[in-house]
Amino acid sequence: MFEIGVPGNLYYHMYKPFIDTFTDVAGIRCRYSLKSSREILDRGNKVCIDEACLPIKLFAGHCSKLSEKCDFIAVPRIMRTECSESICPKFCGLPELTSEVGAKDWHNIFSEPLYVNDMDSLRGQLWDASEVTGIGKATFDKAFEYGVHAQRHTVRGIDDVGYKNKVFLAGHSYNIYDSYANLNLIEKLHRLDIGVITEERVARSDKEKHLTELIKKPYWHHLTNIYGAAMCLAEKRSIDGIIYVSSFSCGTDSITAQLIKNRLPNMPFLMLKIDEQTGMAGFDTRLEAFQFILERRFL
Amino acid sequence: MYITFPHLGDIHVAIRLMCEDMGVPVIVPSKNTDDILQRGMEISPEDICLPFKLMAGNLIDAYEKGARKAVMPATMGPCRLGEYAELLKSVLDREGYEYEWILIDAVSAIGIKQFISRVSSAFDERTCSTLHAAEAARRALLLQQKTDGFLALALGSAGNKRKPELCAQYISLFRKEMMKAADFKEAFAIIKKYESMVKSLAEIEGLQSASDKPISVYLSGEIYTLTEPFANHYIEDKLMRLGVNVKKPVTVSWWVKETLPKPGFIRERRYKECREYLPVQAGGYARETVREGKECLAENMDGMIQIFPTGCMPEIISKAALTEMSEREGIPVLSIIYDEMSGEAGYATRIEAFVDMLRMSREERKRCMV
Repeated sequence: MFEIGVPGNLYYHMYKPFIDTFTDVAGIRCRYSLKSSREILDRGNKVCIDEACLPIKLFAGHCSKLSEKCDFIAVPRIMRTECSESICPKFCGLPELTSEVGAKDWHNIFSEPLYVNDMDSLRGQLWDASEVTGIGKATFDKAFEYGVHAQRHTVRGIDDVGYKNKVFLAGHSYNIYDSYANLNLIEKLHRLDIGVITEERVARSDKEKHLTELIKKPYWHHLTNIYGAAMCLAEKRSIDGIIYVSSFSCGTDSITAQLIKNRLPNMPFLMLKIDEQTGMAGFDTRLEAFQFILERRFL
Repeated sequence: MYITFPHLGDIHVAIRLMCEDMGVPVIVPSKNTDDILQRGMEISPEDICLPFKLMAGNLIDAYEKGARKAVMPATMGPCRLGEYAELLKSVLDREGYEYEWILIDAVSAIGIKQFISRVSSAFDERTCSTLHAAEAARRALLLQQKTDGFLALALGSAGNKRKPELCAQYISLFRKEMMKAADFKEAFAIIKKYESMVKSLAEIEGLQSASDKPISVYLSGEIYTLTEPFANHYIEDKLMRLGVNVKKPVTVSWWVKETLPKPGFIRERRYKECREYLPVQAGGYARETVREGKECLAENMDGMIQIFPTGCMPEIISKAALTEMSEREGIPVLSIIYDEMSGEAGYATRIEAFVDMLRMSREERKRCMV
């Protein structure tokens, strides 16, 4: 039986319940590459073009590592998310960005674009892609149902309690949950007695309420979720500050962060840019300084 | 209330003449300069792409001249251009430049009714009839087409001329005169005059055989950088002075045609050749750039230059696809990425080296054939 490589980066964090349940129920042999490391990044740098951002390079590194051992790799081309919003254009060209130049034997099990908002077409695309694994239609349908169910009912995200201060940790899920890329940020915050809440814990309807303040309905998944969540949490006064984790030269973050900053001028706001450098000192200093601000905010 | 709009190449001439014809008060922001860019950069987030910074600079400049209503083109993503207006409003409001905003989205995104109502709200102060306004719009489009036609002529034949630098000079003179044109009639006359001037320039003799033809380069990439000479550090000028024939299909009139709604199958048919490199539309004009790579091969051009601003998301994908294409089909591609740095030397060196390389590889081929 074939082995399928699943790069545990980018949207794996977002669709984790579905992917895990689906492959488990269908009995597909999978190899996950979950932890990023120096080696992964070096591989990614070799494969990817220079202008790509850190998460894309890490993703390419994961693919390159998996391709040594697996028969196929799952590099999805996600065009729209479940609320029919688009993502950064780089996701639409992910197979192009992560395949090695001149590599003819590139095995990607997905060939067509995936529209997550359209269940029927998604099911069709996944069924086509599952052909190589040789699973039956009945098993596939069951796995798909279970996967969708799991995706809908799993509570994702972080909502810490019991810390002195609480911040909204904004940014893409792949920057927040990849502890190599963000230099172990969440643990560091916990050590500084700062709790964290992420956008997944804010209801979609609450987020949408705040979008009417904008002159145009945003089309990016990230913008809707992060902006909406920031406004909602600020209104409820349940956070003391916002920490925005962004990868260097991220296109969507440049707009989202500025919109939030301009709308909430009095909220302590820390922008953390992550890139290929792994020097911790500057990072730690800024976190400590930010904690200092949170502590003395009401003095 | 004076209306204004950000610069995009030569579009300001057509829009100004159209508004004046309709009796709509309009203010054209000053030409893009380092100073304008500096002012735009001061209020923009650092990670945003170069067109945004220039547009912010334009709008600040126009506000100080008295404009209060801004018209912006927009798309429904996933490229950043669609969110430009949102962010521009946010940063300009914060700095006290409060505009009334009119977003012109693509018809396919907002529907024809909403589109018409937005366009008419942009020109609600007009003093003429609707029919007259429609006529003015038609003439503006025609003017833009003719302007692009003239530029294509000058760019495409510069290499054939004995003195290619004259072509470059004519274009800059043409732009200066167009800025002063009082009405459509005068503008059309200027285009005609310069067209015949370029045509009458003396050509190099003996250009018949394919190996003696001047080097020809396909210029492609992100549309703003391509159409706004300041944003690409006058790359066309540099290429013309090197005696290169330049073909640049992406222009404002091309964009208007491209944005018109079309049935899906017609759209898809045009991308048949580039499917193996980039099978989907990834936002912006990524796919078009890849298609142009294929066209460049089909038309036997010597090479391709792809230009885009730093961090442009769609063009990064097409760069990856072009690298693949270059590897497989042997077409030389130079990607130049522009940012706020105004240093010229680096860009000039790379362009010259690229053109030299194209020349040498052609000599090589010639020698092999003999």
